[in-house]
Amino acid sequence: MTMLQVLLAKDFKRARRNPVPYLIHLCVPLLITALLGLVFSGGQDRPLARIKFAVVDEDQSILTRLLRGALNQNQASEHLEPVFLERIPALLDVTNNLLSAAVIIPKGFTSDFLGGGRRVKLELIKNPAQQIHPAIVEELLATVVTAMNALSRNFGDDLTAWRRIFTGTNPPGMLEVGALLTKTAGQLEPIRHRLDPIPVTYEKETQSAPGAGKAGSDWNMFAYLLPGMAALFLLFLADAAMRDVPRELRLHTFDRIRTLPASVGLFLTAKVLFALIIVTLCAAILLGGGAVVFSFHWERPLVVAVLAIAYGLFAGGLMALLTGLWPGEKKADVLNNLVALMLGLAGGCTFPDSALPPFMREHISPWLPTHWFIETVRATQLGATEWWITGMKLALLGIALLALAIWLLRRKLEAGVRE
Amino acid sequence: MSFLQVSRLVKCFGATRAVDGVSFEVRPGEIYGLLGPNGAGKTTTLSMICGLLKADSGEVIIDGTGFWTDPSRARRLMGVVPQEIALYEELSGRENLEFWGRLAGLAAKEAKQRAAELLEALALADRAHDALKKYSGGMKRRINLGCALLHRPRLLLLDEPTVGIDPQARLKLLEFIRDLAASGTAILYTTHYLEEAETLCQRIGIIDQGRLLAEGTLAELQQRLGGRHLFQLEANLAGVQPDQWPGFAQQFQILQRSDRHLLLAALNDCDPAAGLKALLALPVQVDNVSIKRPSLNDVFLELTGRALRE
Repeated sequence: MTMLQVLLAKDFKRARRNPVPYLIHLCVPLLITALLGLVFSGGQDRPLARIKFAVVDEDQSILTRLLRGALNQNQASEHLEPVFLERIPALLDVTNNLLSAAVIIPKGFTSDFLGGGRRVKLELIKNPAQQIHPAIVEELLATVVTAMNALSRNFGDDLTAWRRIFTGTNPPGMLEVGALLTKTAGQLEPIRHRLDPIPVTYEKETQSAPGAGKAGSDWNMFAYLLPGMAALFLLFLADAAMRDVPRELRLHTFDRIRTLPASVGLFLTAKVLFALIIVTLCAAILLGGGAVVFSFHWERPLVVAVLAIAYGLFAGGLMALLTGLWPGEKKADVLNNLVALMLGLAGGCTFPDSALPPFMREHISPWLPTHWFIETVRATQLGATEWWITGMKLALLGIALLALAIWLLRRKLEAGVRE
Repeated sequence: MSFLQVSRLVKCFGATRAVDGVSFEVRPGEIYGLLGPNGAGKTTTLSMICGLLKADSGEVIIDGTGFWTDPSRARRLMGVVPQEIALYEELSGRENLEFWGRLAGLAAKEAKQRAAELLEALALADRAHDALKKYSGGMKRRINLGCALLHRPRLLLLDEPTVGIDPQARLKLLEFIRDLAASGTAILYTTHYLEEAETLCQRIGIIDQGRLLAEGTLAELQQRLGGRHLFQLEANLAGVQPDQWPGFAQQFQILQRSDRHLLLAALNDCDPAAGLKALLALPVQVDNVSIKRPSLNDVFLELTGRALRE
């Protein structure tokens, strides 16, 4: 135990005096998670930019003028920024990507709509260079069309009377307008209880995690991404820590240790413990600090911590095995990162399970410890309770890999194999 | 009684026989030099003695017990100074010494005390707290040696400990090693420097291509050449066949030749003046003849047909 402590103390002193490799592996996943989270989450508190579109009023009727006025008021003006242009400048602005769309109210629109004799059409020209804003304008226009169709079907006679008022050459008489309003109101009276309050409405609600009812348990993009990123970079960190074995072989300090009563097994065990401690500390910073930075919280932090420790043991054991397989620094430089990257990609560190090819998803990923760790941390966040099986599997695998690594390395070194 | 016994050690790497039946002994208080060129098998032999490599055959006995019978005991009895500076550059000289002392089995307090003693003895006390990367090559070599001495080993294995340091630092280090031997430590010292072997070692084993060709004290090795004087002859020897000169082959053995030089050993313990007279009578225009006592290089030359410095 004392020798193990001596070896560990030496490694920590050295790491403290040269912390750069560990700091790099710590900062990179945080930065990548932040970047991915910001790109894909769409920024939950960020307001949608106002949609700038053109309204080309070729009809120039009282009704269309009322419509133009309505677009600039209250809630509509929060989200919409209509500009009123002639057809040609409007189309030019759309072409030049200055506007998301142009809505054209053709000449005779009001007259034809209120007359009810002919089909009327609104024109929509969308900007092909944009995706979301033109689609929203189209949806809004579809809503307007639906409402106008409903009006036409239910108030057809009244609309004809209104047409006379809007299109007459003389200004409409107040008595005539009053009578028409009274008639329309009389028609609306029987269905008043259906209009006020409005019978069908919707409630805005954020999707909640199944089985979680507490505050703050909302599904969070960062909480989803972070375990994957952490799993991958914790492997790299374990590699950085274990890379000290080939380095000590090159510097001959490992050989010198082997001339003393300290065995290869003790030396490798100390290195794996060192890697485990480094990985655990970094997991605490990555997963704990990440939660603080990205404003979410782990539902079961203790479970995540235990899983991170078990994963650290696996990562240390894996990297020890790689050292046993190829003790030289040159091979380790290339192959260790490759193994970590492949385990990360196939295990779902960077892509969700569903995005992986079917063969990999069904036959490879389920066998990978990276996948066990990521999915268990994510499931724990959603309320799953079988985490301890994964914890046991990871820890036992780590110990088995370490034992295999010790056997392999001792055998190779005694035979004089160093690459 | 010898403290280290090496018997018929063999180590092969693939088809290469790196060490081929090497046997020798080192006694307490003795400095035994293993002399040979690079690639002769010195480090491989030393690696098998300290357990870094497993021999294909042969035996290493330390203080009467086979190394692999009780490796821990054997390792506690020996200190190993590798050819490379096997230290941690991020740690200070004191921290390095204490670390290696702890690994050798010393308690923290004892390791600290021994480290202080050794820093004094190695004249590095004033630089004890500096990181090793700030040390000169000679200072690092001294710490490299010190790290093997913390637990007061009875057997010290030194693998070319003076490589790459200046003559002054080398003299200090050799003086320190002499003192260690004087205190009773058995020392196995590998080197390819003739002068070190000649001036430092009580007995010398000459190794080449994995085989121990000869061993003994310097005088004993010189005696292999019959204790004779050697003659260096300068002449135009291009195209000349000295063996065909009348009576030459009966009087002299050619140790080395070139178009301008001949290094000769007299076969009969003849008087130097008689040897000179015989050489001057040779049927060749002699420019110069000199007499010298045989060196280790001459012994190596006789054993291998080439100089150690080649």
